Amino acid sequence: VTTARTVTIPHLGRVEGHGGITVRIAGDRIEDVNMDIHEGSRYYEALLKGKHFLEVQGIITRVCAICSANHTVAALNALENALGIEQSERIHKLRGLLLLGSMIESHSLHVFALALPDFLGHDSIISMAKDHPHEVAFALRLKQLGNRIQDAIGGRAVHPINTLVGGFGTIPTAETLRTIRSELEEALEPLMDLVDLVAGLDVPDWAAEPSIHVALRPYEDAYRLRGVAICTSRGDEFPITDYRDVVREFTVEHSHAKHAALASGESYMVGAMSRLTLWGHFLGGRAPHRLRAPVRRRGGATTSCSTTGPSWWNSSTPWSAPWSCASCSPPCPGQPARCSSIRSARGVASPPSRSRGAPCSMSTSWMRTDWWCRPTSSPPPPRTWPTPSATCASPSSACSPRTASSTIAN
Amino acid sequence: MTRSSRPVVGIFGLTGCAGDQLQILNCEDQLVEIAGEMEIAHWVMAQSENDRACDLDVGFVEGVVATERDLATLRKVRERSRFLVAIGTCAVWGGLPAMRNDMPREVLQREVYRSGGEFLDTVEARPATDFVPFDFCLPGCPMERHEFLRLVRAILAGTTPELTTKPVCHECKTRENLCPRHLLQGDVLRRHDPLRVWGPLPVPRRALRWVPGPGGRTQLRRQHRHVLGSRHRPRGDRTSHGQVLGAGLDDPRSRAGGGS
Repeated sequence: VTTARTVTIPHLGRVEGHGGITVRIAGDRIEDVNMDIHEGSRYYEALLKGKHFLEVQGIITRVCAICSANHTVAALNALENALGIEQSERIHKLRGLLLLGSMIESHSLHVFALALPDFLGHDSIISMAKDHPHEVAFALRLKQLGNRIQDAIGGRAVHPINTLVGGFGTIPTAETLRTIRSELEEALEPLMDLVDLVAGLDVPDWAAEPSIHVALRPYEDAYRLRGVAICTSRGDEFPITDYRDVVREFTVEHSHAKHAALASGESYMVGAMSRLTLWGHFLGGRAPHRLRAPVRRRGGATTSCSTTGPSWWNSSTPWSAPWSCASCSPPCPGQPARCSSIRSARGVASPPSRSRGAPCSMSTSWMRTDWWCRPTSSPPPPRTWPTPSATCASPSSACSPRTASSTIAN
Repeated sequence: MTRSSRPVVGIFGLTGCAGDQLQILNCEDQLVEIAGEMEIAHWVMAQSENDRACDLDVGFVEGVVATERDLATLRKVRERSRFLVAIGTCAVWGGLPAMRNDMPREVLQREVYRSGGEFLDTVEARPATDFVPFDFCLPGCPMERHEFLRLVRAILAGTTPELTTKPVCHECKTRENLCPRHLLQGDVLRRHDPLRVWGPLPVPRRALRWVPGPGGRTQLRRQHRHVLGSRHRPRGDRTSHGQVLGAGLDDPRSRAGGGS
């Protein structure tokens, strides 16, 4: 007997925002699964029109509270690109620290407060505190540490105010940064213990794996949040300014949120998982060891992170990227020749040269900025754009960035 | 009817960035302790078992009303809650989403969704306080953690929170921030800011004194002699010695009284 029915979950718990799921079932077959986002529309794109450029970051940061620092830095980067302002080394690093603070905060919130209770059979992090007091205490401490970093750099934990176009209102003191550093070092050891807890979780075998990962190519040969080009796990590489061609947004009837797909129509994944899949070989310090070290599952069996991670983590040395170039032997994890041809076809072989231009007239006496509007005799050298070799015949530094990792793997 | 001896609390988000709910989660040091003192019956962002019908002692509402659904949620929450608290600027005043209410929704919709947005449930974004009465408001984008904690502690203790006596500028000054108002003092401010965009003229610190005020409470008030202009003169100007101050000065009030 074929019966059609619909299962509706009106509100998803432990998710930031408002969403529900509708599942249509016919007989023993699932016909359709719709995720409905019924958050009201705020029309941020329209809100920005006609605003002064100094107001932009204050508006954009309020798109989302959890990732407010990231929205801010993205808005500032866009504005500085538009105005032809190049970031000084100090500003670049401080913004990187702000982003890392935001990542520590949001990821610890996501893992421990939003996701982990499901896996451990709890209702919320508050009820989880009874069974796992130490883990919850540390998770909250880690979250607080992320908040403190954002507080020191961005002025406050949510919706930073200290960040400005071209610099910062107040540069944090060396003492503050030293304190943050020592706190981070303190938190490292207990964090390693928590990896066991998370890596030992049972991931259902029916969980779908995304087919395409998209992440930014880091601006230097390291594991970074900011990047210089959009890379996919297929080996495509596009300049960031072409993002509207790479990603198409469209509306669906059942959801207030726009959907996005690659230009080919395929869905893709972004975020930490994709970053790790594409650029995991850049991870330094203890992370590569920890990813391969055995962990005990909650049932008692032993496994390692690499069984739950992308398949290439399992491959023996050297670490090979999923889009390793086929013409090399052993496979070269550098970009295949295809992407360099794409890049040269689009004329982005080097980053667009941004001149300092005419002195701008927006100096405001009460804003302490770092180098804003200050003419310098010797402009800092432009950021090096990683140039993959076209053939990978001779391993260059861009072609085999994994020499350090391969020696320590296993 | 409450279900236990602990106060039953619900935390609700309408349309917004969830920053105020995040600020509650950001009270890392107090979160577990405070959650132990109350029973959180509804908090979609942080827990999965939510009671959608029970009566609440306190309801916290964040965000603007931007959909019909939001309005229905808000009305329901008001019915359920004994105390209703608006948290964040969006709920209190409308915040950023209400910034473009001068443009019709259709125009905004076309701007963002092009032609494909006709199915959207969208109404003019207005603060939650426009629709139902609230008992407390905690503005701020996002609201301040310590203000939230103070309110929660007061409610748990069965009282109302004491209002701060610090002026708004206090914390900014203690951080030694430069203030545009103080860069433009005196004549400069009078000349450049005749419309008082930067607020009233700064009063020299010396002009303020602790004086006995109504109800026997000490107040920080302007001392009449050094005050700019006599209209700030407080009534009953007597020193602790009983001397009437300013008796010899030209007082427009006494002149008006004498004339009638």
